[in-house]
Amino acid sequence: MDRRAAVERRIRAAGEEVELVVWVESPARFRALRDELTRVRLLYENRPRSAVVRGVLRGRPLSTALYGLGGTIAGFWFGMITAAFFPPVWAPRIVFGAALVGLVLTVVLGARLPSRSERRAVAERTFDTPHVSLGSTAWTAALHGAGQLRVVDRDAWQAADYTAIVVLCASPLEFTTELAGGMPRLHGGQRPAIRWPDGTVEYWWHGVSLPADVAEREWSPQSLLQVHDSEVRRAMVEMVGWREFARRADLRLVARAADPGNPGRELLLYDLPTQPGSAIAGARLLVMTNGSPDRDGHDRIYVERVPAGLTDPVEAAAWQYEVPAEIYRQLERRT
Amino acid sequence: MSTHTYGSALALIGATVPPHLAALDPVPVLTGPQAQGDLLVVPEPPRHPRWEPVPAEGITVVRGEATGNTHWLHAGFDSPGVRWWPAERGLVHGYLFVPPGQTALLIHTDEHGANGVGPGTYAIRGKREEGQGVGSQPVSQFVHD
Repeated sequence: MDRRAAVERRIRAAGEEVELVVWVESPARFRALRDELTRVRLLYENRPRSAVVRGVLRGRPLSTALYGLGGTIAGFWFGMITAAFFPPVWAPRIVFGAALVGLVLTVVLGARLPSRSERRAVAERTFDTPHVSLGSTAWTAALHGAGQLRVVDRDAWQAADYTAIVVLCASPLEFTTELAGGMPRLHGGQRPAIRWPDGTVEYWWHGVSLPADVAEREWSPQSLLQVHDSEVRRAMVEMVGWREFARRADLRLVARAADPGNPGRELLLYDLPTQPGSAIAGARLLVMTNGSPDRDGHDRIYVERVPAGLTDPVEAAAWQYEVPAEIYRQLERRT
Repeated sequence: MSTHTYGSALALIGATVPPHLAALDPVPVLTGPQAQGDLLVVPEPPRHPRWEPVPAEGITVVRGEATGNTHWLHAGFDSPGVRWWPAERGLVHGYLFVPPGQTALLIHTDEHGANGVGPGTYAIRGKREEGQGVGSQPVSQFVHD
């Protein structure tokens, strides 16, 4: 705790506007807190009253109605007082007009304030890239290489910008990196690469973040196609090895062709046989080798699904970019 | 006209030169179709473009979810006339205009290094793949990395 107090002191000394320091025990906890923190951050940055009005008016229609009612009542009473200074025959118009102005002003001004999605956009800009720093150079450099960190303090990582609110996370209990081309990056093989103080773990494969269900469970070749992220699929194939993956999946070669702009590499088109009970039927896969090797020198192989009607690998690659095959054949360079 | 090397190009985004590239080698400047990972730069004039200048800090064309790696667009040396239109139409992330005598650079934070783009008008296209739709019907979707 003394260490945390020291970190807080340093941060408060460095950032004059810091009003609130929040500690979390893992990035997962931070992500869970993100919406709440956004609200808190807006409160701090926009002066409490306006932030409350903006949060309530745009986020909740019922509250908007209540605020409108409040504006109408305020306008009504303003009209009643004003009407006392004018001939009684004008009173209904003055009172009605003032109430209407109260209603419109409250609702229109409320509507001009940022909506929930706009607030979320602000939050994404601020929180999407956790800014991190830790005592270990290897750790910092590894996450920095993954575009996730910025050094701010040697004992904790900072998840929000230096404005009113700063989110800090304690150092991980354990993390595993590797050197690739002289640069550290997170890699835990099939074991967690990071363990956080609250017990959550993260899996990384040669710098690629893996979902826990991919890393912790056995998966079938068919289930590979249900993974959204192409880099994650590449990592999954690398875990078992391309040849072994092709054998297990019983891939059947449809056609092969030289990859334009990627000398010495081939595009391979395969059929993935339908498995009993699988939702995926008749999948055709294009297998390509990256134009640039990984930083550790190994070739990256990507497996991507293309329409079953395609029979020419170059046509399949061109389909992926939605250009004619003859344009793809003119490819001058692939990196 | 000075030419960017891999060292000078990657320095623009604070990235290190990948081991398979030499820092002092010039970045090839091409005017035909070329690919950088999941991005394809292809000569293609847009309709009714709304060109914007490319700021000195560059433009993030696309950022990888699982790796955090980013494809950046920068203007080359002495290339103040390079323009960008973030059109987001179908697979097209945006259009690029490079005036005669100038260059643009597509720079990657990891293994792809840099690609030089010569005079012309180009689309920067993303990549799609067949995904699993409702039931067994496939649908096409952006390739995410």
